[in-house]
Amino acid sequence: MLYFIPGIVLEQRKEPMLSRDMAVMKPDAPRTFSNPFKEILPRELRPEEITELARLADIIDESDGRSLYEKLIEADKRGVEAVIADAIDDEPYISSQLNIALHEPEKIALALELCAKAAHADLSKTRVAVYRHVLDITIRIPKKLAGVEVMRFGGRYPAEMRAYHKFQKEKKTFSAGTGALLHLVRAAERGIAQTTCFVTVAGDAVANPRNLEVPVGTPVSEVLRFCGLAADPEAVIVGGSMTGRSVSDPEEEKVGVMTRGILAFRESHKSLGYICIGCGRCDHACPEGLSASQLRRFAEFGRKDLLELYDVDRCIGCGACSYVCPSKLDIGSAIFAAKRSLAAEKVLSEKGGAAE
Amino acid sequence: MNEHGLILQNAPHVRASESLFTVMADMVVALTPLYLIAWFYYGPRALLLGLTGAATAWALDLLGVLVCGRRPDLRDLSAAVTGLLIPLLMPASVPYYIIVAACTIAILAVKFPFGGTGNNLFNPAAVGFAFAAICWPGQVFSYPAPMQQLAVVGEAVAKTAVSPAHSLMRGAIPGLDLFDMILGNASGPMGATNILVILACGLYLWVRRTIGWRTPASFLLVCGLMATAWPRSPFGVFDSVGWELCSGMLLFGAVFMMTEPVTSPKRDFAKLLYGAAAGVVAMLFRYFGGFEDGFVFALILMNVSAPLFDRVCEHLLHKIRRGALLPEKKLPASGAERPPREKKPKPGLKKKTETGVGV
Amino acid sequence: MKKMNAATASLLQESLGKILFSNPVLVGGMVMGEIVIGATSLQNAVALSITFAIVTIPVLLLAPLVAHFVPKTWRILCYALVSMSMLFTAQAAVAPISPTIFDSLGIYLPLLALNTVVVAYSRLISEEKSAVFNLLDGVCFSLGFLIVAALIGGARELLGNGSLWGYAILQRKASALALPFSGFLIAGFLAAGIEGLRILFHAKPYEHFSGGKEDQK
Repeated sequence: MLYFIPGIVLEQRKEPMLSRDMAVMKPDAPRTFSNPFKEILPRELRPEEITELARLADIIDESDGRSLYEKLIEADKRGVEAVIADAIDDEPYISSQLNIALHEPEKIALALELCAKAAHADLSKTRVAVYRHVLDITIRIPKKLAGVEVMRFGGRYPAEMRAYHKFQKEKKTFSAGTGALLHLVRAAERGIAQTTCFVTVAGDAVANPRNLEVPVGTPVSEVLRFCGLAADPEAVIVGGSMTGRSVSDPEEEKVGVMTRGILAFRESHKSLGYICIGCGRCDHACPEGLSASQLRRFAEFGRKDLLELYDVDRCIGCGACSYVCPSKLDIGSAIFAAKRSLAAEKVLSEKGGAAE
Repeated sequence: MNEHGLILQNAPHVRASESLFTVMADMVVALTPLYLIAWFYYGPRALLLGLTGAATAWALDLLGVLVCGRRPDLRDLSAAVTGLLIPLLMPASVPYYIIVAACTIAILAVKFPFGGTGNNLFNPAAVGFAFAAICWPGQVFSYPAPMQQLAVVGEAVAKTAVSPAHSLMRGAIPGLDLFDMILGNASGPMGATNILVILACGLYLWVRRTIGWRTPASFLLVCGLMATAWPRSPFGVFDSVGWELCSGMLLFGAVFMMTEPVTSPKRDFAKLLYGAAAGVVAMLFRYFGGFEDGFVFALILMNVSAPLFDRVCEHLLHKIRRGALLPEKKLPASGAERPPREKKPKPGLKKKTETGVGV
Repeated sequence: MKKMNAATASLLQESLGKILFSNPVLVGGMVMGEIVIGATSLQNAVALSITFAIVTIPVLLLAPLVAHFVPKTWRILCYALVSMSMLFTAQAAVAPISPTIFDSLGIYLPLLALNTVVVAYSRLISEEKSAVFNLLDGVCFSLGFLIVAALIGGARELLGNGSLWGYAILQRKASALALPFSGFLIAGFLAAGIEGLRILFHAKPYEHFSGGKEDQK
């Protein structure tokens, strides 16, 4: 049924990073906080104590950048029914969330229990959500991970955005990334605050592609040196492979909680620019149903009236249009940039109107 | 490259393996069986005509690109596809200079004045053939009987046979069995008589996603409906539909020419409307036109109106998307930091139509 | 040798430009219809050019006079009357070219009496200028018209009919070149060629309808 929602099918390329255990960069020097509950076993913590732990440990959820403490408070207020661990990695190469779920299932199960208690949710409805269409991997995703049922979220890319929306708004669920959950368990068991984050280091220029636990604030070049570079990369990306950002200076660029992935490619694809022949593949790939080919033309010529008529503000920046383009045009970035500039102009004109 | 030896590229950073070269190479591959079958029926002249067309078109395309001041791209096969399409629309006994003239007009008058590849207003092959049809109607529409080996170079003196489309135009009954016509054992345009091979090539192109199914399907459906409603043969409806669809260049045009990406609409619903309208116009040209198959003229007319269909469809989609007066989407930049993503809640019923595959 | 002052020199240069780089048909876009439809052979082209000259030059010369005596509303009517009265002279001049000249041109010969130069250009530009300017305008426009018409008509006749001035030369012909669409095509290519030449010779582009009354406001 989900295949009627437009999108694209992506080759996931998550091996060998997914099968390898998470490596740790700089395994020593954790930052502890004074844990008032350190005598209590994690399973016996009370809901408000769990929330307090999340606050003391400064945990930020990597799936949306919000503090876990705030999310728990809000979920409790909203009244949720189920707690879900977000291990959906639908972009190629990126597997940091899925790796934690597969290699540390007991910790994730414990974390889900804690969150369910903190949010007063039904324990039987906790799930670990994974992306169903990751077929080219060597380890099997079992039906249950340490007793917690695995929910396979299907559909074409962009699936994570759709899943996030579904969990947050439509169903009464609380979802948190597996990285944040792992930090919560560490806070409960050993009183460690969050100082690290989990990234996937991959790409054909990396000698040892793997998932890595990296201290927040490490320069990207250090992470790449840790994994080893097989060749001089032409392009270094932080973020996802579909929505990530090109890095200009790897020494300056620091790893953050939301980074999720560092990719180094031997060749940049920028040089292949053909002409648009109007084949319409981008229009079919757009999950929002926009006319991507026309929007790109309007963005190029600055036709604001037509951009609005063709609903440029509905673009979610997933990059599916650029992915399928046989002429290798940068459709998605052009449209998204046009959308941002139009929105900025509107804000300016509103401010100008308000000032009068 | 910046000072760190890195190139800044735009997201997404992985791309599909399909490229423009593979798309156009698919078309060339799909046209090859038609040439091989024409070789079987008419001798090596068919292959030489195709090569002449492709070489002329490719050379003129190169000339045009150089005059425009652009760097020639050797992977751009669109001119070669045009050059291969034109001889298939003509009889195998057509003189070489007609092919050269048609390809010249197709490239120099239809592609380049408007901007080159990706910017042509009309289907170049259609205009080239139309030009040849107006200039030399006698030679472009006199078809040799199949299964004779024609002279390879120079003028080909051939025994002509009346084509089924011509018989229908005159009000006579085509003297051919439908089975013969499907196998290609009929007189007609070199590439357009082999119905089975065209269908197979069309299937290949559809599976490879070079063409969609909507335009050819709606076109043929409407042609069939019109043949049913106003049959030109005294026998039953099935015969009428069969003869109309298998004679002339309707099927060939539906698979190879109507689906040309530059000149056909992009939205799915617009494609259906476009195919239907083109079907009506093509059949009207057949019933009331001067030539036995005025499909190319119908195609040229519809090419001009293709953006109109797209625009109408877009207005429709706009109304559907904005139907529930929802607040704007706020989405962060494509980058490493992903602050909260808010997506518009869509009411349950609207969800299918908004993102449904039909529109 | 009479020394020319700067104004005359620039006037001459501008007028010479009007033949090629500011060609009325290809750059100014005037009188397009008669050329693309009517100029299907060299004889037709020459006939059209002679008619254009005979019909337009008197109007341009009379424009300042008419502007002086006649109120605005009636001026175009006067120009049209003048040009149409010159039509008989034009037809007499054209008749010797070929016995079938009027049949092959049809309505496009008399239609020249109401071409853009007579109806719009005279009103907007010629009324303000001197007689010398207008005469030069008329002559250069006619020359430019002749060149373009001869090129288009000659090409269409040679390639489309295999003949030149009625004498058969080639064997093969592409008869679709006699249709209007090919006229537009050839005119388009010639316009592109002139633009290319203009860039090559670094000539200034010329706006036909600027420098008139509207611009002086």
